[in-house]
Parts: sequence; structure tokens; C-alpha cells
Amino acid sequence: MLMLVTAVLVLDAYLKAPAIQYLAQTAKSFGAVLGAFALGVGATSLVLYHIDSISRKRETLFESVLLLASMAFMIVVGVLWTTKAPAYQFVFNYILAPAGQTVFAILCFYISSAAYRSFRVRSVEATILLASAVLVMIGNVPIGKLIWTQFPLISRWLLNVPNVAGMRGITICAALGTIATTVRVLLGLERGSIGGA
Amino acid sequence: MAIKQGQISSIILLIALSFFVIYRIRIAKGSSLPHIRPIAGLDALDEAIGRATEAGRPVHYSLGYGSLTEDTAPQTMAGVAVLADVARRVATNRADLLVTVMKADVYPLAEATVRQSFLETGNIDSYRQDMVRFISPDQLAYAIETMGMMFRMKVAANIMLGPFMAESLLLSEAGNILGAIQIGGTATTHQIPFFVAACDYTLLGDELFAAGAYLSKDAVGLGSIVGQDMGKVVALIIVVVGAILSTLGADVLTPLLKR
Repeated sequence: MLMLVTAVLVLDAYLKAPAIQYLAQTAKSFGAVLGAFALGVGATSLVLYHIDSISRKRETLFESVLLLASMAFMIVVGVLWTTKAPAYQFVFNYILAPAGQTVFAILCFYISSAAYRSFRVRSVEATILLASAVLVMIGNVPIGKLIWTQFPLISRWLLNVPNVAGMRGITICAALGTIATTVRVLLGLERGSIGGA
Repeated sequence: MAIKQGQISSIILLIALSFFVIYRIRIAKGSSLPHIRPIAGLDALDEAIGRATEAGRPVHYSLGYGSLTEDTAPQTMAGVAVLADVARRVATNRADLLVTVMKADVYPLAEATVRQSFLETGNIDSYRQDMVRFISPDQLAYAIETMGMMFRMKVAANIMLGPFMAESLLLSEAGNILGAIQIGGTATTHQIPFFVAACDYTLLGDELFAAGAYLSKDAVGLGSIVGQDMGKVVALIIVVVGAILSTLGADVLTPLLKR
């Protein structure tokens, strides 16, 4: 079944045939339905774990209660009054979205600490990395152009030439790996996707 | 039935690559297994799991944000292939394992893979249902909850293999604060620098796809990797020839590749 669905979807990407298009559309619709059922399985697993947490009075008792209560609240409000209900919008806009933005803000500090640890003169490659990082950073701040007018040009060259070349090489190789995986699925040689070692 | 506009060259290259992969798989099945260069990140799995076993602390494994129905599915499948091997080693060492999953459709696959691995090593009694946890389909909620669990359980090894976005750095830094040995791998190009900066070992791009075959020494997987390498040679030839022709003002390859 997996081989057949993969073959239909691959053919749909390349051929203009109403029959294949219909089969591909049907397969995608089935995929969406299965995805929704999978979400139910995941949500059930989540709820059972947190109920177990509460019953065993683990240290995360309060967080588990909060999670289950907010999950129940959002589901009930969303189903009964849709996602446009004021209560739903309030929780989304004033609790969930700011929480997400806070987490994103932490990334700034984590990038700094990761850079501080990795940009060291340990080897030739690390020194080249350090020099490139310094040049790119200086080229992207206003004071860099004041120190030397060529810093922005050097920074742009580093980003547009060697950096893009490296990324494209990795992208091409990753794409080839994706195609090889698809070929194995088409031939029924890829067992990992259907569970079991 | 006709080929879609602009897909002729694409389908020819796809058929050529498929032929290379099938051909090399047949050779690998028939004669000796091809040799793959050592991949430091995968050789370090033993060290990572061994350290976690000695410390009595769990191994954390993350499959990233991908699902099985998006274009990141091959990366997720590659991550699951390595998860099977990691779970076998954890089961053999009788260590603890925590697998966090972001997408619901990956959860049953991850759970079945881990349970099967424990069953194969004869240590099914060590397996617990809560070893594999579905966290949240929201990227940042997943990252924060996983970080919280890593801190509470004080993981000693943090393995992140699959498609990643912003959560890559969040999880890596959490592992760093704990002093965990970290192995990261993704084919998502804009996240690779974060793994390189924050992890002890990094699998770049197609090393992730080679990981499953590298660990299992499976003829199909190894033959497929060699077939991919043949595809890379073809891509390299096209790039070099195209660059030379474009430089000389005879840009004949671009219209051909756009057909």
C-alpha cells in the first residue's frame, strides 16, 4: 500500500493525467484524515501521562493540572464558540503568543553563549570560523563601515559566495538522500517507516 | 497523458538516480558490502550511551519537528532508523531513555520502534510506556517542555537527529548547561550552524540519511548510499560544465535543465 501511494504521488508530480491526479488527491485527503486521528492518539497519550503525574503527585503536579485545565478550556471554547470567541482569542493573544515570543527572545542569549563557546582559536578551521564570524558581524553593524568602508563588502562576499556555496552543496546532497529514500520506499525496501527495527 | 511543463529534465534525472540506487543495491546484495568512511557522530553513540549508563542518567533523543506526511519525512525516517539502534544499545546497557516527539503521526512509529528494539534485546521488562512522549505540535511549547524534562531528569546524553528549526539551539543549550554529550544532525541547512556551534558531534546533510545504514550495515542502505554518491558525481559534472559554459558565454545547460 505504501509503495502504491508513493508511486501515485510521484507520478502526479510529473504527469498530467486526470486519473492519477484524482488518486493523488484522494491519497492526500486520506493522509489528512489519518493525521487528525494521529493527533487524537497523541493527545490521549499526553492526557494519560499528565493524569498519571497528578495521581502520583510528582513534582510537576501543578504544571500537569495547568496543562489539562487549559487544554480542556481551549477545546471546549473552540468547539462550542469557535476559535473566534473572545475568550479563545484572549488566551491566544495574551498568553500563548507572548509566551512564544518570550521563548524566541531566549534564542538571542543562547546564540551568544553558543558563539562564545565555539569561536575559539583551537584549530585552523576554528580560526577561519572565528575570523569569518568577526568580519561578518563587523560588516553588519553601522560602526563597521565607519572603521573601514570595505567591511560591509567583505561581509556580503563571505555570506554570498563561500557560505551560499557550502549551503547549496549540503542542500543538493540532502535532496539526493531524500530521492534515494523515496526510491527505497517505492521498491518496498524501506521498512523503518512502518515501525519495527 | 503528458509530462508536465518544465519537468522533463527533472524526470530524466530522477530516473537516472533511481537506476544508480537500484544498481548499487543489487551489487551490495550480491557481493561484498561497500565501505563507508567513518562518521564521528555515529561512532560517538557508544560513548554517549556508555556515559549515560555510568552516570545513571537518561539518554534524550529528539526526532525534531518533522512529520511523515511533509517534505521533511525522509529526515524523520532517518532519525527513526538511528532511534532503533540507540534504543537497542540503551536496552542492552539497561540505561534509561527519553524520546520526545513533536508531531502526533510520528509518535506511534517512535513508540513501536523503541518497544521493538527492547523486545529484540530481550529486555522488554525495562521498557516503559512513558519512555516515548508526545509533547506538543507547537514548536516552542515542544522546546520548552523538552528542556524542562531534560533539566528535571538531568540527561547525560542528548541526541537530536531529524528536521529542526529554532528548537535546535534551545535543546542544544539545555544539554550544554547540563554537561551532556550532544550529537546533532539535520539536513535543514539553516540549523546546521547551530548544531556545529553547540553540539560535540554534528551530522551534516546527507550523513543523516547514511546514518541508519552505517549503524545497521544493511546491504540495501549501504548500496543506496553508494548510488547517491554516483548521483552526486553527476550533479558535480553538471555544475562544473554549466559554470564553465556560462563563463564562456555559451549558456546551453540552463535552457536544457529548465525543460
